[in-house]
Amino acid sequence: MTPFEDDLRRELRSLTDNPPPMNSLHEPVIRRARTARIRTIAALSIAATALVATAAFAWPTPGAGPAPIPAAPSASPSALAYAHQLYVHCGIRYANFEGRWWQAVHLGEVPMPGQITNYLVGTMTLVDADHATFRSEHPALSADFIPFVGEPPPCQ
Amino acid sequence: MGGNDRDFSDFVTGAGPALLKSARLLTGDWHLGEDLVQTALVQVYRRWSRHEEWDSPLAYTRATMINTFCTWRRRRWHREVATATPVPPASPDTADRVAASDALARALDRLDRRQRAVIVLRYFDELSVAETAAVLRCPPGTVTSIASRALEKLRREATLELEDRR
Repeated sequence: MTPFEDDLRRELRSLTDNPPPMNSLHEPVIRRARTARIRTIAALSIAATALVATAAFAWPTPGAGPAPIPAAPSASPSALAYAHQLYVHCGIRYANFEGRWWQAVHLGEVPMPGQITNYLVGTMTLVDADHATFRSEHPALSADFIPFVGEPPPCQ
Repeated sequence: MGGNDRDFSDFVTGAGPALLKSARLLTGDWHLGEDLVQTALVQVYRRWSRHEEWDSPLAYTRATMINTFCTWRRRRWHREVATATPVPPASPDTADRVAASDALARALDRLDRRQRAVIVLRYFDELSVAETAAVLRCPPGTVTSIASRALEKLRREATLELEDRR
């Protein structure tokens, strides 16, 4: 230890000999810490809100897309009614729906044949994997279909 | 006030004056020193729930304060402060002593932050080289080197200051 270091030690003590009266430290410290914590939480909340808003804008959500494809979709969830034009040139016999052929459970004639030419406008509902139902309002009718393997025969 | 806050208040009541004196030497001013101590204590308070895991809350707080002082971006504590207190009129002996003290305070203010931190830790807080190195997170050799340069600068500047006054 050099004399200068001794002097330095003594002078440093003398510089701190007479501290002015100070307020208590812990109260402002706790207050500042709590304020800082509230600010941090608020900033995180704002950031999280912004993140969620950005994600909602950028990512499509189920149900936000376009309406169901109206004509003969290749895949459709069950119990949804799709607009369908049923070919009835030779009666209610076959339908092409969901990318495959269906056969009417009860083959029948089209009512009001004089007013309908080749297609009957209505909806087709996939009730389950092996059951679809066609409905029209004008004329009011309902026809059930089951899958048909192969190509339907030509009108006879 | 919860138990945690009560423990913290007890700690601050006990350690506050010593921390304040160190902070005054670091910043060159009592009020800036108080601000530095408060800023460090805020950081300590946030981690206070784990204080029982610390070897020494005082050592932890001192390290936090030194680190805050050395890295504070606003640099509010690094401005030069002319004198902490006005020099009172006094007898020749007392006048010499006050002049020496004032010269040292000015020289201390001219050190860079790490040099000042080393001087305060080594010669006021009485930490060893190894303890000072742990606070500053640097090798002991670096502390020795910084201390050596700081002492040389203090000696030179304080002597010049006193010679200028005579």
